[in-house]
Amino acid sequence: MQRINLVSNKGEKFSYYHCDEFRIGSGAMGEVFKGWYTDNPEQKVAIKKVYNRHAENPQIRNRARHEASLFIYHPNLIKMLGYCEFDRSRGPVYIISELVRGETINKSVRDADPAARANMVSGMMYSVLDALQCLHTQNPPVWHRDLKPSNIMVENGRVVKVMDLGIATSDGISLGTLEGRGFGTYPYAPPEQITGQRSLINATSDLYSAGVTFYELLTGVNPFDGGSDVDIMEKQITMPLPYNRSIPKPLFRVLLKATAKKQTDRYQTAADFKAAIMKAVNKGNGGLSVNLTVLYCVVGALALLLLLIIVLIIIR
Amino acid sequence: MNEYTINILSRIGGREENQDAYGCCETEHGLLVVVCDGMGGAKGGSTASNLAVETIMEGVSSASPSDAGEILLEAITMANSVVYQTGCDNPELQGMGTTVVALLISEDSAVAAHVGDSRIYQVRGSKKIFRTFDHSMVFELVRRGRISEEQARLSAESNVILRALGTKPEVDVEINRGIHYLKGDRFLLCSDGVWGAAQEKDILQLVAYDKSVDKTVENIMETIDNIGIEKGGRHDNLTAGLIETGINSKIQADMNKKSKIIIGVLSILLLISICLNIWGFIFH
Repeated sequence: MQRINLVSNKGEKFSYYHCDEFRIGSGAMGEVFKGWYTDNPEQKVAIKKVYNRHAENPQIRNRARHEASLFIYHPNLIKMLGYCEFDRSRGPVYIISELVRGETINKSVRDADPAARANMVSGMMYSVLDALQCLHTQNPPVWHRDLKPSNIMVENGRVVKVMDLGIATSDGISLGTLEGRGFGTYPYAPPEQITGQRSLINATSDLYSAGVTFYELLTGVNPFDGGSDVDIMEKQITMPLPYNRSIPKPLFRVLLKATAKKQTDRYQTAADFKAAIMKAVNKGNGGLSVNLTVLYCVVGALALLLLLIIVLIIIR
Repeated sequence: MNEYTINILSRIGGREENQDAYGCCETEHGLLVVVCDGMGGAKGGSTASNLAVETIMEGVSSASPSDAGEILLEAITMANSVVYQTGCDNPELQGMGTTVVALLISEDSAVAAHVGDSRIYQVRGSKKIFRTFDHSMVFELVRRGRISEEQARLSAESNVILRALGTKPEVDVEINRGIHYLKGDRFLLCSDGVWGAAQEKDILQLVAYDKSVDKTVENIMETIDNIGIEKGGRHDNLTAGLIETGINSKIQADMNKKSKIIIGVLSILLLISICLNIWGFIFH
């Protein structure tokens, strides 16, 4: 078991054991280990080590530094603590963040009662959208670009934390030729990401991924998954969100708008998307729509009038 | 062989190592040109591409007379086995692989073979006559009519290929046989570091840059390298081989359908005109 000691760019000391026992996850760009503050072993942290094969790429090193320097404080965003590299241009790169103790959002809602699922998932999505709103309103704005259920953690069954702020995507990085799989998480990727229109990536791109994530959490299935990567990419470009009867209709209409293929047809801000969900959920919960309220009032008034006429006839 | 003028150049681009490799030799089956773009960390990429070029050249040179497509297929299949086995035998090279594009050109015609996203263009003037179709994820979407070639070129996933040489025990090679050519046609073999840097119309213009093949290839390298430098200097390795034909291939194109219709219609009109003339001559 090899103990690794690190000093972050902020001068703080961290340690971890580079072994399977301490590995808590892995992704396209690196593996995550459970570590601790060297001076305070009780205070745990998460240490992401970028894979050696990517660490030599200066663009990835820059991306890692950028991710680790995103000191944005929001209750629903993972807190970055710093980064570490022994040499500026080569060797391993580490990104240190707070350790989120919990499970991914899809595991968290998997066993939820179907009747309460929409409300529960919506509640969690409000937090996700609050986190996105915070990222998107930074100066300059930060686009997450890889939002998916496995990047959203839930602590203690209620506190939602959005993770992986930007390094997980290969967008804009030349990685050289790869065979088989790229780095994109195609089942959640908006069309503009697949067609390479990098300049078009904006808030609506993250909201598209949030919409697909929301759909998956409600139904248990990803609407675009299945088949080869090319099949999935094709569906992202052409196939509208398929209707699933486990989603209340007002909510489905909101998701349809969030995942519109044309960016201008989507919600333009995370706050707008959240407000639309809230409205749709209230409708689904039995809150009366304006039209229905008017109808009930008219019927009520007519019934009252009829009752009055009958009473008048009887009296005469 | 003075029927063909050739020049190949390669540059490292903005990378630490050039993982592209190329080779060219005269064989009894024709002139062989090969370009490979290696992939894999450490020394894997350059080992795979160099090994592939070497094996393909040896394979074609020592092949008995046969169908040119078969000769190329066998040589590339052999290269796949050699690269794959070398990767298996050396842990530091495990997983290495390469793209390959090979042209075997004889007086009869040319044969193109490829695996992955390195390309062969056949250009007449500045017009594209033939081009290999990349074995890549984004080009599958182009084939399905979902995105344009330009969108594919710019996509973040444009580097993901669906076929490679040396990564598996077997390889699926695409062979294009019987490519006919005219005197002055140019064949460009290049890695994605070249074609990925500019729009296709600009690449075709670069191929037609100068009467001299040498100057043209030098200009391709210079132009593409400069594009990379302007974009930050982290650009891919770039390799371009240019072959200009000094003869017409013995096999020529079958007349295409459109030409056949035009000639058919003209023949009928001519026949009617002759009939009318004869009728006029007899009865007036």
